[in-house]
Amino acid sequence: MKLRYSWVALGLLLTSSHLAIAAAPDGAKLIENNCAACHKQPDGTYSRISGQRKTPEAWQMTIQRMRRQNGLELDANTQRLIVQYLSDTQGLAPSETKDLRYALDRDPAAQEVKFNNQFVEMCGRCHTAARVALQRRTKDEWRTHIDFHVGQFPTIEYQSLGRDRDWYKIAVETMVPLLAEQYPLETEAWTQWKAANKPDPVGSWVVSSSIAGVGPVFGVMTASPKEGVLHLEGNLQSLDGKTYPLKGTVNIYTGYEWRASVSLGEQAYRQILALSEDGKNLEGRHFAKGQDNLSTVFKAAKQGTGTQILAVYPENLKAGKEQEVVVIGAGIDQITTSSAKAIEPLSKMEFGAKVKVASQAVGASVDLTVGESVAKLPVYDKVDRLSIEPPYAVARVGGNGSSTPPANVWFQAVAWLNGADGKPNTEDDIRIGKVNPTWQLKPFNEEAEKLKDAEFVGKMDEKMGLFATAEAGPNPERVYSTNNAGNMKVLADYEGATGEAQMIVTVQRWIDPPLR
Amino acid sequence: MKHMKPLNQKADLLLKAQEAGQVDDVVAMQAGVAGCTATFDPGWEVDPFGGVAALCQPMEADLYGCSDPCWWPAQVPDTMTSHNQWGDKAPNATKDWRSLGTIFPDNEDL
Repeated sequence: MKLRYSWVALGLLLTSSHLAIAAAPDGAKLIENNCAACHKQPDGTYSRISGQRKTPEAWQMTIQRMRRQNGLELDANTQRLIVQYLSDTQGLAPSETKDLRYALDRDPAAQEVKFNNQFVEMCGRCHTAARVALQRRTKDEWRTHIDFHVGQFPTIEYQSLGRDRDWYKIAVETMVPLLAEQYPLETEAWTQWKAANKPDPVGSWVVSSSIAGVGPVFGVMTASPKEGVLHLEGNLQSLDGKTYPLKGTVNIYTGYEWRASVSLGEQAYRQILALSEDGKNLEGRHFAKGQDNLSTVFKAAKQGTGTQILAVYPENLKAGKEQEVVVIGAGIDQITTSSAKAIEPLSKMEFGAKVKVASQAVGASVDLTVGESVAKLPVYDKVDRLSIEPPYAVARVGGNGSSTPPANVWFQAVAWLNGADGKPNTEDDIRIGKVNPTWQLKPFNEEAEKLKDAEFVGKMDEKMGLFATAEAGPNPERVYSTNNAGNMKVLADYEGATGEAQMIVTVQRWIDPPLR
Repeated sequence: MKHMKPLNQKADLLLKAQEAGQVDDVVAMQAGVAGCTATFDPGWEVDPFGGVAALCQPMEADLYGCSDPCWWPAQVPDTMTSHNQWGDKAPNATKDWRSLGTIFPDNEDL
């Protein structure tokens, strides 16, 4: 029998009376059958395995490596069940992944700034520092991990920062104690999480997200168990009323790691989310399969867990006008306003409500309050400047008959008022939210101009801010037949207010693991 | 450099550029987004100056020369240990690059 969410199966959610629980697959048995031959030690523990905790993605990568290199043979379902068991019994607590979600949900614009030089030079020069920080090991395990690297990647010692210093000594004598201290196997957080009541994924979720090149989408999706599998079904809609039916399944790992495969509209989508510890929220990113460079933030609030506003559209009000506003959230029954003029209710929907509000003085905001949740809609007359999200982006060439799809980028513009001091980029600036500007590309610098990057890198949709990268491969029309790479300035203009971002268009990734 | 003489034209040019103060300090690559190669030489995705003009491109021209010794292990599969057959169908990467696969089974979604 297939079983997709073993925390549930393990009985940790047995309190949810509406769940029909099937028999749990015996994860320990699967490890015994598939891993013991090489890993089992006389004391009953497993070499390498027992000394670590990590994310479902990391366990999956390990098992895939065992298959690729060490002759392990597993069918897909058994592999998933082993990942499930290991993530549930040797995973990470929510607080241990909290600041590193970007690596799990594949945030394309994440830049790692919080790790110190020593850490980056040792670990972050090949892969994300988060890939390390999302693991917990005993000191012996961290020590073995260094030697594993030397064996697996022998050239590690003659790469830059390997050959030009006593790399191995630093790794063993400095990094191992540091890693063991910072990321130990046993933590209070994990002990507590193991004992905690896990959030219940079953129920109706009000969703607020967006689709690259489309804009905001919102609606309701419902998670319900059927024959041991957690099914998702619902409908999202965009601001222009187009609907995107959502249907698929979700697996819950470690009691809170939500991994769903769904169809959204006509495309296959992945959701990589985390359930909040109180069970009221889901947060992470979703993306069309194979297009995680276009992933967007995905938030959901569980119905029946109180009142909560997730988003309002539009995000701002033009001075002197009345405006229809869509309020998205859970438990949106009564909305009150700070505005002198009362809200006019237009319609109540499954995912919130539509209301009409009047604007106030420029620089003030109209507050919409539902329970303890407040949405502030800044009132503006004229936008002073724009900021662009992401401010720095990387696109990748792809396609052209190859196995790597292009990695495109979706830019969005946020409007700002300069605030009381009248100066841009100061603390009193007022964010007035997303607007729809016109977009264009320019060479980032002289070098880019000289190499005519703008002619080759790809095309920007001037209305939607969606950049479609040019094809992969050497381009005979370029100097040295170089790739369609380039360094671009992304410019947005909204009613005369402008903003700019930088976009690097670069080569493809030939290896793209779940944790980079 | 007093006692060393350039042997070829490139070295001579470099020396002159250095004397004229035209050689920039090479800075570690820190401009990339998470997961980009950080400090390899030459870089893979973003060059030491934060652009792409100084990248080793077209990357197909020098793919195995740089990836096989695993200089770009996070972006190009190493065929030494982990992905032995990755380049088998593309002996001449400049011509056969379309035959290279992308590593990571996307049919194994969690």
